[in-house]
Amino acid sequence: MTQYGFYFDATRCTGCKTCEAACRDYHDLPLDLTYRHVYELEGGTWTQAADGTWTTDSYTFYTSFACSHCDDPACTQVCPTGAMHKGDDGLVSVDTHRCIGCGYCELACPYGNPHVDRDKGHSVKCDGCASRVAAGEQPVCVEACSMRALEFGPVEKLNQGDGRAAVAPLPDPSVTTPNFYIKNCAAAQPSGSTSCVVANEAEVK
Amino acid sequence: MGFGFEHAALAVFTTLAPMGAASFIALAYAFVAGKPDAETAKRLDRWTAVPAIVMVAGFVGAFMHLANPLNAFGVFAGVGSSPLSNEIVAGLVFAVAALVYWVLALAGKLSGGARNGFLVVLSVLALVFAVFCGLAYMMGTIPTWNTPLSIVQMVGYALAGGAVLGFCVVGLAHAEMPKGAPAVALALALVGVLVGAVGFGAQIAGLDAIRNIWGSAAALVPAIWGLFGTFAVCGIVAAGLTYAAGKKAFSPAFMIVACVVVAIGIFVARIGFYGLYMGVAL
Repeated sequence: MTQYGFYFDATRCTGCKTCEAACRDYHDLPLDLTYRHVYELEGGTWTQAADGTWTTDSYTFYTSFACSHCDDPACTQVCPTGAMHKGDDGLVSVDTHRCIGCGYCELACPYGNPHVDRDKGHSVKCDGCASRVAAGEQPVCVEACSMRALEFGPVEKLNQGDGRAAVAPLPDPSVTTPNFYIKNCAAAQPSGSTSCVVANEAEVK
Repeated sequence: MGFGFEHAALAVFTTLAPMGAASFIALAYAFVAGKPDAETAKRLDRWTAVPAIVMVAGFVGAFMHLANPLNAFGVFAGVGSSPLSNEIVAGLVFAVAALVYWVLALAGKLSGGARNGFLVVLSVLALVFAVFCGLAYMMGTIPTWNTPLSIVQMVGYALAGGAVLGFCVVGLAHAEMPKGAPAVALALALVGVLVGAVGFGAQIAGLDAIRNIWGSAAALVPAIWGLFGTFAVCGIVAAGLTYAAGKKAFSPAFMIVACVVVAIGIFVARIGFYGLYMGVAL
């Protein structure tokens, strides 16, 4: 089985959110929903020295992520109908004819990806733009990134950077073994860190 | 942050369905200890429609929660792996067994011994259902719910609500009970309230140790101890009303009020529980 995954180079990302916008546009999503999220994380302090001068260790970094198409997905484990499933390409997607829209996948996913669309009557999520991939194209978020910070492909051929994503605000990779690899930037904080805060909470929560 | 009203339909389900199921524990007592005559047994059987309706109302709540209830039969695909499938199956096993019991009882096909045995089995199945209702929320990626206390509180709520509802059926059927019945009803209801309060209270007390990028779980529902107190007060009041009603042959008027009060208490606690949702990361 080929396992597809994403790679994100945090040293390149400028936080422009074109990936989010492209995802929303391509999938015709409402303004409050996107399958890709860009979190702005910031932290640090300012310190005044005895001579009155100020120094700072403040930092900002961005984490752009969608579904991590995990090896051990929390969403498929709790799905009561098997609608949430991994395909032969390792991509996690929803069988809309079987989904009952119970929302368990949405509750369980630590990457905040599946979402129950009550109008459609089923869960919706990032499927890695499976139809585009089948046509030999890249997912729309990858193609839209002007900084080439995103990559997508079979994990054995994918740039693996510093390994599976283990950076805030994401969970430790041991939880679901995500097929999401990151090259960390200097400011990156590890998974579980509470020293940084989400600066664009109103945008992503 | 806030409460858990977005899960109100689920709160209706986890309040009413286990309450209706566990009322068979009180009914088992009514038949085993009360030894009703044929006429009283018939009345008890007719009024067993009340817990059945309560349980069905709970399941309607669960269906209301679904975005596509028409696919609901698919939940059997996840039995053994999905905690939600296991919960629904445990509820259906109870419901089918209860239906068979009820039909046989109404048709006069149950002898005293068979009836008592059937009721004991239903009592056990009701508790198993309550356990699975709690298990449904134990997911490794939701640390605030992923505790055996989720099960403990569900068992407590089922016992408390079931005791009050079951003795309400006794009152509605004008069934004569032994002298000690009010004390038994009080004890059952209070044990339920105590178990529920220990489960919910211990869960709340452990919230300080849980946090993710958004902050501490202790800040999720600012009024959580108020919701806990509402459950405890409602539970104790309902238990007291049941005892007082028991002194007057489980006066239906008192018992109906007790049922409403205990259901409100459990519903409030369930809303608080859903408000405590916090993912391991986001």
